Amino acid sequence: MRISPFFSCIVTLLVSSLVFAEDAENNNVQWSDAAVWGAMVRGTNAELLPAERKIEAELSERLAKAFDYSHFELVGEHTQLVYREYESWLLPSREMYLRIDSKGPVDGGMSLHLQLWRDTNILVKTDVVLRYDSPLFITGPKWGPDQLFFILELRQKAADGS
Amino acid sequence: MKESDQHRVTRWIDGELTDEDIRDLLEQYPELREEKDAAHRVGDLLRQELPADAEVPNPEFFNDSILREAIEEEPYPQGGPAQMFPIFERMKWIAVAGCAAMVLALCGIGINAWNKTADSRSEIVSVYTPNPNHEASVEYNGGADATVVTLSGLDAVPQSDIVIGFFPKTSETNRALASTTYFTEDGEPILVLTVNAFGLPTIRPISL
Repeated sequence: MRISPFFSCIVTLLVSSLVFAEDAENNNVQWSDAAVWGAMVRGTNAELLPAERKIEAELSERLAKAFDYSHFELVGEHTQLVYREYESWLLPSREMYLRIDSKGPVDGGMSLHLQLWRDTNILVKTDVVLRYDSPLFITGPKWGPDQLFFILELRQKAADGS
Repeated sequence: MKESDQHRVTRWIDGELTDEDIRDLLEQYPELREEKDAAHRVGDLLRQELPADAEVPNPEFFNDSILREAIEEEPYPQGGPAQMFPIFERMKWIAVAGCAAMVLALCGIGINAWNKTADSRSEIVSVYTPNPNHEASVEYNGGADATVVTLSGLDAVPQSDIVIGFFPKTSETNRALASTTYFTEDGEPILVLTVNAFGLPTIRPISL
């Protein structure tokens, strides 16, 4: 059976496009340099209820040193890749969430532009150099006797991109 | 006069030579006897003219001057102490090199420690609050080892309000629709984020 050159070209193009599409999907991790972990935390001086999630003990100790609260509840958390070309969003809560634009890796960390949003308003815009093992604490609004905080940490991206 | 004879003269003046040695010395250098007599005469004359208990004005300066002149006029024989004790010469440079290395090491340790401290912490390059009622201040909290951005002027969340948190694990983005759907660990969709043409985000929880 003779295959026409035109048909060969079409088949080659289709196969190539499929292969490249799969590569692009697999290389999604390569489009980012790091991951960030963001958390919405409630600081309170009341004992946490059993149903309320505690944050890690080490982070809780650090927060207690920075703020006048003895207990910290994890309201929400989200780990997100920092994409090289377009923005990422950290959504641990609708009350406060973060837009992240990468400005590239720096020694021991990432240079980032952050926008902290609350509903449809930007609370603060900031350029930061976020480094590993050096969290960023942002104080949020008071909530009755308690207060909300946004915590940001730079983390190594996992092999699967998470 | 040979050097050894000079030493003998010194010992003679100091009264350390035996009679036999003195005799030998004066036989060899008879002019020394006249010099000694002349020196004695000068000494006697000075003792007669100057009071024995006269105080020297500025004694410290006087002593220093004498010491300085003595050092200048009496250099170390044959090139100084280094030649007397050559190992000291080598040790001197070893000591100098050691001190320099120590100073450099200490500087290095200090700079390294400083760099580690300054370079290992997150830092705020700039901060801006678009709402004029809001203010932001930045500090590094050493106790917490964290960089803290304090926002003031924010409206409090009413105590009766419920603050809903999310725990998304995965997401799917539809670039054409500018929307991202977030899922739980079990694959359940929990919220959708859309960003309009002006960059304004909208979050729609699915479970509500």
